[in-house]
Amino acid sequence: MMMSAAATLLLAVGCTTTNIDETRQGYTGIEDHESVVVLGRRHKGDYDTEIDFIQCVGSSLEGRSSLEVVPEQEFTDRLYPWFEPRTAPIRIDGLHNLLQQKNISQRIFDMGIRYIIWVDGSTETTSSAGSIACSIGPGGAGCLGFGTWDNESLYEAAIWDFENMTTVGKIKADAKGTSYMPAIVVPIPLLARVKANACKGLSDQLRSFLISE
Amino acid sequence: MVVESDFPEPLVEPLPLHMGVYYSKEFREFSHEEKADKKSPEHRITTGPTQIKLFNRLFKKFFVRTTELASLPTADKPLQLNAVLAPEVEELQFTVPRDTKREVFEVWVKYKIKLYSPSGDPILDWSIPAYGKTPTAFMKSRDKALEQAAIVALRDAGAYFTISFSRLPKLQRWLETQIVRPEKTMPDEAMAVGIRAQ
Repeated sequence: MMMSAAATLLLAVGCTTTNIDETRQGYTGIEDHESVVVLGRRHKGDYDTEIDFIQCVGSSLEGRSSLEVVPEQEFTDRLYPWFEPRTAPIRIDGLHNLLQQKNISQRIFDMGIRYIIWVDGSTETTSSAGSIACSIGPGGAGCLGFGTWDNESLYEAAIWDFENMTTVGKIKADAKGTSYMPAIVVPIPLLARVKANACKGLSDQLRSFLISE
Repeated sequence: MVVESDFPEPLVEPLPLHMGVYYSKEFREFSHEEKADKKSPEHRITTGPTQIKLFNRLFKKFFVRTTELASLPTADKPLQLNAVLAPEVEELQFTVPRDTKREVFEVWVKYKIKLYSPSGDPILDWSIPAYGKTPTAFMKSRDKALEQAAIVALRDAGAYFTISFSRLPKLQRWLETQIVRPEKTMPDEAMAVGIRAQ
């Protein structure tokens, strides 16, 4: 019982360091009737910004403030096919060109979008070591060994002001952590919540950035 | 594995055309199978019904009027419309993590869109390559991951069709022969559907 409680406590502990950098390029501030949308960059061949990370940032941004966040899937469906990986504007001038089509600008206006937040990055396992061996015998089953692996999250958010058609800032979130898995009869995962910490750091900074001027 | 999904309507201004649409039996029932070898199990993706949904959504918003046809028109029975579109699947490929050592499922699909005259003569055709991928995820089955990659690929096909229709020079030239310009004097009904007067 005590070992189980200790394992449960250790599951919640991670060795993670997170760095957040902000670059402001313009004034912000948001009215009650305005909303934001968080979108993931998925146009590169070697990685996609994870859907669950974008959902995490959107939920965190909305959950702890009065900000209204339009879900990514709802936004891309209502603007289909103009924000698909193949068609989404890469720079703010691309958005300006897209908005020459009145139906597109009207649809974004109708949704009350003030800021479009593009998040680009991913979480990777950078190294791993150790081994765990498990076996089953007449006396029972068990494992023995030790495994460790490093995760790194690197994300950059670019904030586009839809009203003024400018990029008002960028926020980088860099998180690293090491997870451990000792195995004594049963494996005990001690997971570093690298991606979750990157999400929290990025969303906290975004909230502060958007609300302040 | 049968791909099942719905698709959003494209946000486009409809062209003033009456377009016929023909889906062949092969297109309606399209399925791609890769035979099992010693290393991997058999994979089969069926996209026929869902790609019909995709193209129906696209065509209904692209043109002011669409009519689905049971067969291509012929010279002895021409139809009263601007043209007929007939999509075909040229190729479909997919990879699973075991094939590439990457932790993604990938689907490539290439459509050929053929444009026919109201009497069934070929006018032009163009290809639509599309791609979709989805990462592996804990507790996600192989079939579910492959289905999601196929859905992403089909959405990509819709996006490519949308941008190609407004940018391909040979399509633009054909559209100029079909769409009545406001400054020309035409009967009101012909103006409404963009049908060139005889």
